[in-house]
Amino acid sequence: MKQAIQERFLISPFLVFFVIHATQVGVGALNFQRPLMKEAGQDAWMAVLMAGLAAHVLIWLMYRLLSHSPSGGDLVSLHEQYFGRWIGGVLSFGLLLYYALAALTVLQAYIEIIKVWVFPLIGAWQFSLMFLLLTYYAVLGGFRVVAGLCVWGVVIPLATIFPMLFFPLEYAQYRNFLPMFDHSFGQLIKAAKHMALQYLGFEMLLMYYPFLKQAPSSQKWAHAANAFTIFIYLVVIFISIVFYNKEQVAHMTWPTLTLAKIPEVPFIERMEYIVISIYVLVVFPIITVSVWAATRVIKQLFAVQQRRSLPVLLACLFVGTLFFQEKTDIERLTEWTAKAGFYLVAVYVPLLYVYVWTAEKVKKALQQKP
Amino acid sequence: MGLFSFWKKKKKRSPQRPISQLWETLRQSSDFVELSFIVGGKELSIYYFDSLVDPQVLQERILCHLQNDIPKHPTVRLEDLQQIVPIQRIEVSEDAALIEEKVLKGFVAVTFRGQPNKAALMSAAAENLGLRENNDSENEFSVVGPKVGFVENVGVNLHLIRRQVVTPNLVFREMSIGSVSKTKVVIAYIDGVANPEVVQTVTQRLESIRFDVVFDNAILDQLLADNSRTPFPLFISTERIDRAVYALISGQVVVLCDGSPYALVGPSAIFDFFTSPEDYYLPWVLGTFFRLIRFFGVVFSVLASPIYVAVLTYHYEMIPEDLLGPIIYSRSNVPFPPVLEVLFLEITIELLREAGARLPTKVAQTLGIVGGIVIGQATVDAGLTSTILLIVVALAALASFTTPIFKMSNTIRFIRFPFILFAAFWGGIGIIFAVCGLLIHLGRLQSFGYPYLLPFYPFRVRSFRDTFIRSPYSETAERPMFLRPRSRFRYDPNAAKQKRDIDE
Repeated sequence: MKQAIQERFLISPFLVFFVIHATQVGVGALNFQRPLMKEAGQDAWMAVLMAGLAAHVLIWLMYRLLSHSPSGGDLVSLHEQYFGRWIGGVLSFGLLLYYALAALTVLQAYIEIIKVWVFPLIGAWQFSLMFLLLTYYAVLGGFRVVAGLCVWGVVIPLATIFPMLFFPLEYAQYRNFLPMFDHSFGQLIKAAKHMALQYLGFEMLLMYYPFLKQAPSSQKWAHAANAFTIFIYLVVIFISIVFYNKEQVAHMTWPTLTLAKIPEVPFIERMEYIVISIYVLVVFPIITVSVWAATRVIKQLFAVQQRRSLPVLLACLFVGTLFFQEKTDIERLTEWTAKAGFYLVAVYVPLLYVYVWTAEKVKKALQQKP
Repeated sequence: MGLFSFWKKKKKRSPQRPISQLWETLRQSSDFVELSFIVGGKELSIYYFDSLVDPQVLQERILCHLQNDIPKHPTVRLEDLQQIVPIQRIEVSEDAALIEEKVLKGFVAVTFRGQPNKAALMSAAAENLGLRENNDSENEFSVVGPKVGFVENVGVNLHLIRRQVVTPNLVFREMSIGSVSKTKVVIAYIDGVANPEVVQTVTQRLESIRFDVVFDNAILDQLLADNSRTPFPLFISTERIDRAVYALISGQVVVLCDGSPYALVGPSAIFDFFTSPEDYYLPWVLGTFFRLIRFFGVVFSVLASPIYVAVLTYHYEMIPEDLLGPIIYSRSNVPFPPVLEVLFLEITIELLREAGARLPTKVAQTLGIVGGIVIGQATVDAGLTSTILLIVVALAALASFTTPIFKMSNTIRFIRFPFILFAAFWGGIGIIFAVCGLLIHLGRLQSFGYPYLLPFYPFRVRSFRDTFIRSPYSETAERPMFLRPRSRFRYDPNAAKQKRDIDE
């Protein structure tokens, strides 16, 4: 069950940059402004920064934790080593559910955008079917192909969508930043907690860690990816603050998409259609990585071939998408995932680290005694 | 397979078979000639295929010397014929299978009465008979640069390569492929540059090929491919010598095959298919410019008509007011939805291209004019398509022909049909779905075990010097490292980079 992964399936350490960044930035980047600015107003950018720094700490913690794992393994083998087959198995099963939930949430949230902005009449199931078929094809290629998709998912949107964000600066009101430091620390913390979902994504690292060549050396790239994510969110929130006023944002579901309506060129208008289309490339890596991670958990846990479990998992996801049609349901789903992810990354991983750390100490002490 | 097993069985059985039985089999054919005569008390027989040997060589080199010189050496044996007959590498064999193979390749077999189970084999093959002597590389034309291309004769091709690669490290490895055709296939590489793993992979794959007749390198291409279910060519096939030599010095392996004027180059990455030798003959600024135009052409060719379909079917809000007028004006008479309109025109252009390729050149030109101008104008007048679409589709077709490798330009023409259908179903999102599918597909492809998307993924910054940009020669001394060549530099990088101060 646990043999070392052959070298030709591994990816270079610096590719972690693309994988982590691609999985972090998702549909949330289109609509994170509203809850954030409700709590922290014009100081929202501080919350973005705070949440990002917290993510840095958690990434550091994760690398420390995984380096304790037997022979550079993943979280599942760590669970088994420290908690035994049954308790560890239950914990790993929770991880599997979380990954599946993450894929479902991202897929649902994006399809919701398609439904509202582009195709109100075409059945949503067509899009989820297309997504899942493409996911099937990608995951079948292995982690290298999935990581390759992450590279495209970063490079192409960065070259096409990102420049569009700067057009609204023409109408910027820089006074919107004032008064600065107008919100209490408690409000900022609350806002930063809202921001948590936007930074989630690096928890997939818990599964693909053994697929990295010289995994410990990839840590700097992981931090660089997180720093870049902070940068992207900061740019978006800055532009949103200077372009909208506080009351405006409160009435908007997807402020970033509305920003995309502003650019004008002689031959094309309404750029938000382009943004939404290209956003497939942003959303898709998240789905593939989490589906890949979920099937990987299944393989480690139940010794079922990924080739077998993949179609079953995708079918479950497809059925899942049929159940969440209403906007309120989707919002509740997003909330759950955010909560689950938050507790996984911010509570469970630190606790686990403390446990593993003390366990190591105790073991060492016991060995030295006799 | 059945044909092959027959051959295999025969080969196993043949050592026991006497040579006389072999002649019996060959006699069935009317072009098989058997001459027997007595010279100087020696009774000798000569066997050959009339259709394969060069009569001049046969008469002047073989018959003449046998008849004149044997009487002077009364004790001559088959093994001593090399001293008499001025033909290189005379071989004496008892193996009927070998004799059969050689005679079928244009060798002359000589036997003595006294040594009935042996034959001396002398090459008298008319190598160039019926083959082209030269090839102007018209299918991969470049204005600047040499025009000589490979020809069907593999011997000539090897000569052409060795003339430019003057190093003892250039290795040719020969093998015979095809149970019926016994085609001579040559693997060429530069020892110490090409990665031995690649050479081994190529050799192994070639050795494991089971096929009857190798008509062309294109067949080897398909049999060697890592993935046979892809429309993308995984190896470059070129008829240009400069291209093959360039591949050799950058550490790739070239496969040549008798009877084919194309050389197969692998492992190839997707970018190799969009570079033209001419990029290297022009100053690097121009080379880069034309290369970028070519890349733009590819993207435009794939995306232009799908975007037209997507925008006009679903996202008409995206058209600015000023542009709306002309589009409405030209589309007001068209009774079809945009996707039918696009498919109609795309298929028309495909028909024109296919007809032009199958017809003799002179007729094809006429057809191009009739088809291109008359049909185009008439469809617009009849209200079947809009003028704007006609421009888009014609430009896209034009752009797809800028790809220097024919196989790749075919692929590009093919993949836009799925794109059009995706655009017709799901608009802009459908196009990006198709892009995603394409990227995954390309990410999964490999050429001789090397990722197809190199140097893009896995990302190799250094190798970008010669992808989008054709850097000046002072920068390109390093071989593309993604091929993992054994030696790193093509020429001394420091000599090329030497900088002088002003006025010095």
